[in-house]
Amino acid sequence: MVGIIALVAFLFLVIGVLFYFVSIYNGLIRISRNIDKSWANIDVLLKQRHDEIPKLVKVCEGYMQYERDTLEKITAARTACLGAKSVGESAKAEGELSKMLKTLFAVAENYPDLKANQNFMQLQQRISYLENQIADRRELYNDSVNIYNIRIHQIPDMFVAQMLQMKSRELFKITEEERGDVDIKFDLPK
Amino acid sequence: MSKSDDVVWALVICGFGVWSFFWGFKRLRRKRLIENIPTSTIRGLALGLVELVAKAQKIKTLKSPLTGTECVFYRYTVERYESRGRSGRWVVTAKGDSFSCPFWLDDGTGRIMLLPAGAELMLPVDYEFRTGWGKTLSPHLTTFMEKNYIRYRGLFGTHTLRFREWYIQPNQSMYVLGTAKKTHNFLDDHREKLMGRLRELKKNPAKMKEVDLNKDGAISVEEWDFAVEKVERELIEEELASGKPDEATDVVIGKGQVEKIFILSDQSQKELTKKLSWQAMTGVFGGAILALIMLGYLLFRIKVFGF
Repeated sequence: MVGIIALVAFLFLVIGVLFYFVSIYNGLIRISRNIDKSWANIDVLLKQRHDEIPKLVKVCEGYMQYERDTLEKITAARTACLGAKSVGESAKAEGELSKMLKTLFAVAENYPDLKANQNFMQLQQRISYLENQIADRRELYNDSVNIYNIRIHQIPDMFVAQMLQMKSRELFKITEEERGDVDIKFDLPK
Repeated sequence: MSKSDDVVWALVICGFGVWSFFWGFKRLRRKRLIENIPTSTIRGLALGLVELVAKAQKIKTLKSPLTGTECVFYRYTVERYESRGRSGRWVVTAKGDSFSCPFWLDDGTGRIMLLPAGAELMLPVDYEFRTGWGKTLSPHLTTFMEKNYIRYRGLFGTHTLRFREWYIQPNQSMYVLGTAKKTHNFLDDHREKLMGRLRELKKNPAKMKEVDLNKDGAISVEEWDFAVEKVERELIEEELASGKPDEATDVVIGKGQVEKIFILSDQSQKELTKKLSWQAMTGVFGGAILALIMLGYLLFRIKVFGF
């Protein structure tokens, strides 16, 4: 009788351990896929922002003939963003672009005609909203990466992660340029 | 009690233990899912399974039926205690909810509509009242029972009743784990309504006569275009009068087709995971122990007394 009970108890233990590890495995896979999805969701917004930039540059060109340098830098930053391959590269390029856009909007304050332009106002609003959305999604992406990085270093998830050769993922960090103040220089003729 | 009643009970409890064991794992899986999904903002929301922490806001004012509390969502049950020998059980005599009434979620970055249909509620009971010695039904409960034709008086006074109500009040902070999905947008709705009205128009001979402007008995392309334009203009006027179409209604939170999980709670994530942890532990260990004890009893019973 004791033998049967011990056997059933052992069975419960085996099933329990199996279920536990399956739940850990599924959990890790889900987080890993969520990170990919979060990154893809940022990409969707970045693409939308990139699509708005040529329109913005075009509107500004008519008014800001003395800010050619700023506009060219924005176009160059956009091109760099499109060419970025890794998370780190992308973060750096996007940071640079965000900074350039902030500079442009700040410099635009000096051009009342441009500020009053309906198209410019709409584009500015749209890009600012997209920037906020990107920031939110970036935060979500970093949260997902953080959860994942913690999980794969915690016991017992660590054992499953090692078996699957799961490595720490890269955070979408804010670059030094983005952290700094916006550099405003007016290139008006002296 | 017949001779083999205890065997039946032992089998039932053993089965319940095994069920609890697996149920515990389900709770564990749920706990891990909640922990593994980061909280999103409504502004940065993407389609798919999302976790939100936001304040509930009404689309239309609801009053909870038992207490008359102003809320965005409610659920209630009225149960009657039925005695069976020395034991008894609560039997539901009336229940209701507002699962079909959507409400807004607002987290400060944006607003989104929530369709509560199909949600698993993790709400503590907000109101509970039992009749008994010295406890009589309050006027609003009596009114509720009479309005719903529920018998509550027996030969010896009021039945033993239990009233329970759960609700989410406006501006209450909520935890939501559900699917963000596209719904019919304004243009689709508009197009559908327009097609419906044109179909109605075609079915109505009197109105079709009005469409025939030159009264030649046939409707020309120009006459029909004019009629469509008129119907659409009336529809737009109605739509504008009923309120501005909201962009936010394009995406809603609800139960997904792929991800079936949909949790609504007025507790924090920490409280929820703590609760689920306890449920998982109790289910897995309690279930296994219970099943083993009952198995032991059954084996002992068979060995000593036979079947």
